[in-house]
Amino acid sequence: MTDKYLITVLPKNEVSDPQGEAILDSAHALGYPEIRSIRAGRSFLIETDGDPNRIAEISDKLLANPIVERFEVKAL
Amino acid sequence: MNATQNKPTRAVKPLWQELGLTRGEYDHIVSLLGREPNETELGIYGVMWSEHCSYKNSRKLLSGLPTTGSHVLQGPGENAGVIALDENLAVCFKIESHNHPSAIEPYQGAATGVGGILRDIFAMGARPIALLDSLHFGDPHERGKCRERPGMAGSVDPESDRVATLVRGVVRGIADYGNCVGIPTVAGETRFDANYLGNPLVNVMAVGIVPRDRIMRARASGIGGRVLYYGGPTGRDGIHGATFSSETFEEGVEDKRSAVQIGDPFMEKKILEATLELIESDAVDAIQDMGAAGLTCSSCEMASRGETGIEIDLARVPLRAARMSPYEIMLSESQERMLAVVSPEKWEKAAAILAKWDMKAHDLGEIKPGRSMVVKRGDEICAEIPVPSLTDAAPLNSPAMREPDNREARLALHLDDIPEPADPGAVLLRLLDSPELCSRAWIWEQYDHMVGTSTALKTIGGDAAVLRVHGSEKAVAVSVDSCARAASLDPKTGAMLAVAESARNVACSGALPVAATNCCNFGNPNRPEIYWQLAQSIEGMSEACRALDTPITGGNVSLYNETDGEAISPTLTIGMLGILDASAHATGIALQAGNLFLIGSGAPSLAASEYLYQEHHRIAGRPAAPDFADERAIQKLLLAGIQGGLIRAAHDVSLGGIAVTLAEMARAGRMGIRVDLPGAERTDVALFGEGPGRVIVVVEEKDEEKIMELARKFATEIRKLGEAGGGELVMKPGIRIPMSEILAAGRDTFTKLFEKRGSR
Amino acid sequence: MRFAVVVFPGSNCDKDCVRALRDVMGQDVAEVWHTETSLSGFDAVVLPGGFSYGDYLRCGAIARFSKIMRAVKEHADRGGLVLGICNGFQILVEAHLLPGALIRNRSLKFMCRPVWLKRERRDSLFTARGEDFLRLPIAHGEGQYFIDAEGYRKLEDEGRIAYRYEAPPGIEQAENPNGSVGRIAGILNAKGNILGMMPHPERACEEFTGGVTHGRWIFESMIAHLTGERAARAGIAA
Repeated sequence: MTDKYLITVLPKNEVSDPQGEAILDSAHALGYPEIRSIRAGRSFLIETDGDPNRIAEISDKLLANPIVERFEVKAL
Repeated sequence: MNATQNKPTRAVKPLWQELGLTRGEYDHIVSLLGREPNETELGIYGVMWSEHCSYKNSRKLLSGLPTTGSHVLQGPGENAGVIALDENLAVCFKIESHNHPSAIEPYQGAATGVGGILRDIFAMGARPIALLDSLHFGDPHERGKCRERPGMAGSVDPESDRVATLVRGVVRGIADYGNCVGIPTVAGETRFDANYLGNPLVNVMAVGIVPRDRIMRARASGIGGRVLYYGGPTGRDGIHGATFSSETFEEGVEDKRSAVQIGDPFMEKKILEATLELIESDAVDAIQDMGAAGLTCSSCEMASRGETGIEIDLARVPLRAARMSPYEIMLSESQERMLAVVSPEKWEKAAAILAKWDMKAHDLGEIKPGRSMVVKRGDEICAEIPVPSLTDAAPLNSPAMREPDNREARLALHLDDIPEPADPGAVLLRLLDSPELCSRAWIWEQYDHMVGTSTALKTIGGDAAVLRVHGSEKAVAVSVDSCARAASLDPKTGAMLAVAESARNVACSGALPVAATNCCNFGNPNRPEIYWQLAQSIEGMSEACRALDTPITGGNVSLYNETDGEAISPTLTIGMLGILDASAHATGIALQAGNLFLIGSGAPSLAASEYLYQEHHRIAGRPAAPDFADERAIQKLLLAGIQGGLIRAAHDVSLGGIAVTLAEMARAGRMGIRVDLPGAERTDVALFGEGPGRVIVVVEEKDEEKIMELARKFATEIRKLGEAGGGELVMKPGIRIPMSEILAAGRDTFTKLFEKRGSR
Repeated sequence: MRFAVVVFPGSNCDKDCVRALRDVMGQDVAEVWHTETSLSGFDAVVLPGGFSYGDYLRCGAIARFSKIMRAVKEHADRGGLVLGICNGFQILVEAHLLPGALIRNRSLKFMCRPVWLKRERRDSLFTARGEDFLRLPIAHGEGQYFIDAEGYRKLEDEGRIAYRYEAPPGIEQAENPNGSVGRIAGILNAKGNILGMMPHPERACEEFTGGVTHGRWIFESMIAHLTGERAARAGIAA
């Protein structure tokens, strides 16, 4: 049985995110002053036949760098 | 065997048109085959008879170029030209355009341009040591004035600044690709003019070093040789035009073909190392990259050069997308793919080398006797074409040409109409701050220009970059130049000026110019004025290269650079290669302690000058052609002076005239200057007048007599201008500026213009 | 001394490091492919710059899992010297052999230029030779050193900050080229036998490429330490 997961990796709140800030500036310039914050990250779509617990494991080990990033696993 | 069994379900007629073939060309194909071509076959003819592969509109003109010389080991016709460096090593180099892809997607377009030219170099067995770029963009001050076209960068937001978007994307694309592969980008030029707004030019040059006995050619040899495919998989990237194959109609959204080629520099790095290892271990007989027109062009050219036949099976091609048609597989321009010919007994060895670099060896087929190119998919024959009909029988056109009507009027320049500047110092600061003449550090600091530990640091940001060659006493110098402003007035003179300037640049860095590569960027050759520009430019290049003994060893032609009937200025980019006897002779432009001399017999003129454009908004006048005898005398003087240790810095007098040239030297050396300039009828001509045949050098006081003697020996003019030092830039007549202002001028121009926060 | 320069797919300063160590410093150098499992016989290991595995996930994140990295850790545990330059530094932090992380430059741009560094430690195995200010080239897009406040204090307290971006008095330099916490350019591990740094010493070993030769000081320090160690061992054996 193949399961699908979406893993979202974002910079931790205390870590600066120049990319997100630049995109925020751009959004403001384009006429979206109401947007208060943007954090830029990465996401991964994973298809697996195995134990769902191993998804969090690989996210922590490989996909995200826990020193500067946090991640979220969503089953699809 | 009957190749027509794969006949498409739809009418073929519109297809030849979409492929850019004419009715006459289509009829010729039918007569060559003795039958109607199927879709795949027509696609193959379409790309092989395109300008890019066949040079059908430019071949006649290019055939007059000088291509041989004492240094030339390989002229045009292979992946790149090769020049002898010393007894053991050779230099391989070539320039290529990626204009249209960069206009559509600046980041990927420029990145894949770098990838393509690098593959041309390492396919010859050469390890790339340097990249250069010649970039032309629209006027950065004319924001948002371009009519938006679908698919053009910036079209999402009509308010956005198209030039800035292009500059940022192109520079980042070149940087990310070159930096990742680890090839330093060491020199280049960046020009701005309104006529490039819709058609930016991205020309990239690569230089590599190859042992002379290991130069690899893209020539199929040995019947029975296996056709080896390695590198990235084949997807729908870069297949032009609309939908051709009936199958694709049923495909989902995600499978839509994309015209944008995506670069993978990590894969490039792996195929670079693997290719050099394959060649070094003598595991392959021929190699060619799959560039424009992909598998079609590479397989067909290999067979053509080797005078053999070839048979490939598309079922064995690794695919990235599902349900690709034979047409799509043959025409895909997916990047980072190589094709090689391997004799069967060496297959295992080649496969092992590829495995080391995490790549598979795909056996596509075989080199066959006869002259037929057979493309199968499993048992089904998709195409069967005589190879010579694709190459030797390609059309050769001689479009009509006509000199533009209004030319004489533009050549006229009456100086009485041009007021002399009241404050020449202010003019100088404005010029130094202008996009054309400001500091380029914003660009080259994004490029890793030092990786490889070959680059002479002091030549970065100067006239030409010098690279030492590991394993040789000698070093190479490289420069790219185009003189498009002058060429827009007089294409022939513009071409001669570009050759002369790039040769002079290379000589200023301590090298003897030995050979050149070129990129012809023009509009639609079917318009008589454009074809006239092309013919004139090539004639000028030919004359100049002959006179300066710098044969052309290869290059590329990019036509149809026009938007809504407006063509770009004729832009001939010259990539010049020079050789230094010793890397210790590398000379930069940065001012050193000593006295300043002007050498050469060139006379300054305001024709086509930067001053006239920036201050008086005019492009006019009759640009003077170089005096080649004097250019050679200047070269000899520079070489003798540099090799003899007399010349401590040298800078070609180019855009902005003597005033800007001196200011650039002062800026680079962070040192003031005090000079008296040669008199002219007007202050602006003396300070800002341009023209070939002038170089400024720095010589220590004790060596003055020796440099004078050299000038007498080589029969060129020399004149002392003044001395280096102090905290001011003083030029008589009319300029006295503190160095702090010179250092600040133009330092942040690019940052202000292009580095909008909120951009990618 | 015997140096190993580890080569990952995508390394691109490996040959530069080999040339600097062999041709300029006169050392015995071998390139070691990432699939090797042992580094025995080597006195020092260099993880060179480049874009290992294309830096596709995060810089150094994939290289960290290669076979050779276990050997690098064992080598360090034995007290051997490890120098990570640029991508090598990124790999060392991803492998948790050094603390913190290296993220995108504050400017969002790749940056290649010579910068001034100040030596913060004069007595480490990598910094004993040379002067307090060095001019070395940087060339990176992701060289902003990040560590939380507690971690930073720890680095400071333990004297593990080897270099900061700082120019000698009287010379103008942008305050912080990439936005690093505490202007950190290079750090040591607790034992002091691993140095990770963003600037490239191998590019400033000869005047031709670097303008200055300050990069040699780092290699000279390593060689001096190893020579002393070898002499001590020989003394004990005798």
